[in-house]
Amino acid sequence: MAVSLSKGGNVSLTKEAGAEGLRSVSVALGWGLRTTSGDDFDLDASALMVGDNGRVLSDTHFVFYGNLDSPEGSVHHTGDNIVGGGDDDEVIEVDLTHVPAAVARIVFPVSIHEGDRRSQTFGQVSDAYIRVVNGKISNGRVLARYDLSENASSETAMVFGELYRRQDEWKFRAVGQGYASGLAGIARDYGVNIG
Amino acid sequence: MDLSALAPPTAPPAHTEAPGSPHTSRLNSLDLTRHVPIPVARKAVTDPRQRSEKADRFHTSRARYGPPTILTAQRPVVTLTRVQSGVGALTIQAACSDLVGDLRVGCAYQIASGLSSLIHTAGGLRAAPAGSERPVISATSGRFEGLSIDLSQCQDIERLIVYVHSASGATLSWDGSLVVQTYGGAHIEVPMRRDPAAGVMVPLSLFNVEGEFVLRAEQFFTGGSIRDATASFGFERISWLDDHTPLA
Repeated sequence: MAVSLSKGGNVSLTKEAGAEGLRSVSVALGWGLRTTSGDDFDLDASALMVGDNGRVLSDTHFVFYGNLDSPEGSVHHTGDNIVGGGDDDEVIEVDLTHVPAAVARIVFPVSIHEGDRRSQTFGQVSDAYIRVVNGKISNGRVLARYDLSENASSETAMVFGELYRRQDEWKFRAVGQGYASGLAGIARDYGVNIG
Repeated sequence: MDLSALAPPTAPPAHTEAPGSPHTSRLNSLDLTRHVPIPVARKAVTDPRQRSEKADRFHTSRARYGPPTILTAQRPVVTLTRVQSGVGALTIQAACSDLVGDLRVGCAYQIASGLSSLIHTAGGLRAAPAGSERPVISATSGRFEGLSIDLSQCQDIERLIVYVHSASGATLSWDGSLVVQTYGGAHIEVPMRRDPAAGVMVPLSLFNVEGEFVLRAEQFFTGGSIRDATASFGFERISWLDDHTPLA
């Protein structure tokens, strides 16, 4: 049974996988809309592969809709509007066996496209969650899940969770940290050259 | 011997012809080694490692936040990173004084669905695709006329050319610059100075090459029509009411 996390909580994915083994995971993210102003509402998930210093290894280690694969191919964004993934809105696959050793964490933000210009925030988003599935999203077992409950009325982006290494284990932490500066702000904070 | 290492960088050719155009037919000789590949957007990248090696083989000119990158005949190409090509919006403005004349901005575009058409402010076409509730490209107004590209839909853009012209067909005193600005604040400028003349200038082209936008100063001018200018870049599938007015 999947571990349900609250904000700040963590779980060892390696231990949860147990005898199944843990080679790859699918990180699925979902959300609903509470209210809209009539404007198109566009949310995007992404992944930042960061080192011990908290910065991405390179700009190409920022995986998003415009850069679907990390350079070595260990992180793959499957794109918008996944079919067959249940209610998930976006899925990012991580081949844990090929994640570069220099990567200490993989951070998963969700951002509202041009949220500031359209006056859209996570206060208008409901039922947001992130779940980690062992293997493929279509047939893997859910190892962990975090349902976000924050009222982020001024945030246009939010880090839902992160995968991180702890000695020989892979762990997952529920983060729920909001940003008022959108995807660009999160990316910049993690050392991506937005210029 | 790996001859692929001798291939040119992945910058697009100056004037790309549509399949079947007379120019393309001339290129289709039996000598396949001379064939210049046309950049294809949304190309499936099956092996990211292979892509990375290919990218490392060439020096790619990049635009950074800070002093503007000025594209010239000697240095006509700059390639935006995937972040610059995918986050926020890309704005393009024709920055010039009133002394130039009644200069207007438009573009011919090709999107992933295969649709080719124009943003033509002088004719009331202000969104791409026309009538879309969520345009990929929009005309903008303000101090300077221009365009805005919605980069959340960056995968949908195959290529475009920006053209400037006089709506009345008058002689323009060409001056000023076409200014491209990334979401992060990097500036790319293309000078538009030349002798006074009536006609259509194409200062810039944009190609989506595997998720990176390649911007090229085209240095193209024709005394002819907008239809002539766009046809010179292979936009042959646009329907026209007349030489200056697209159907939609």
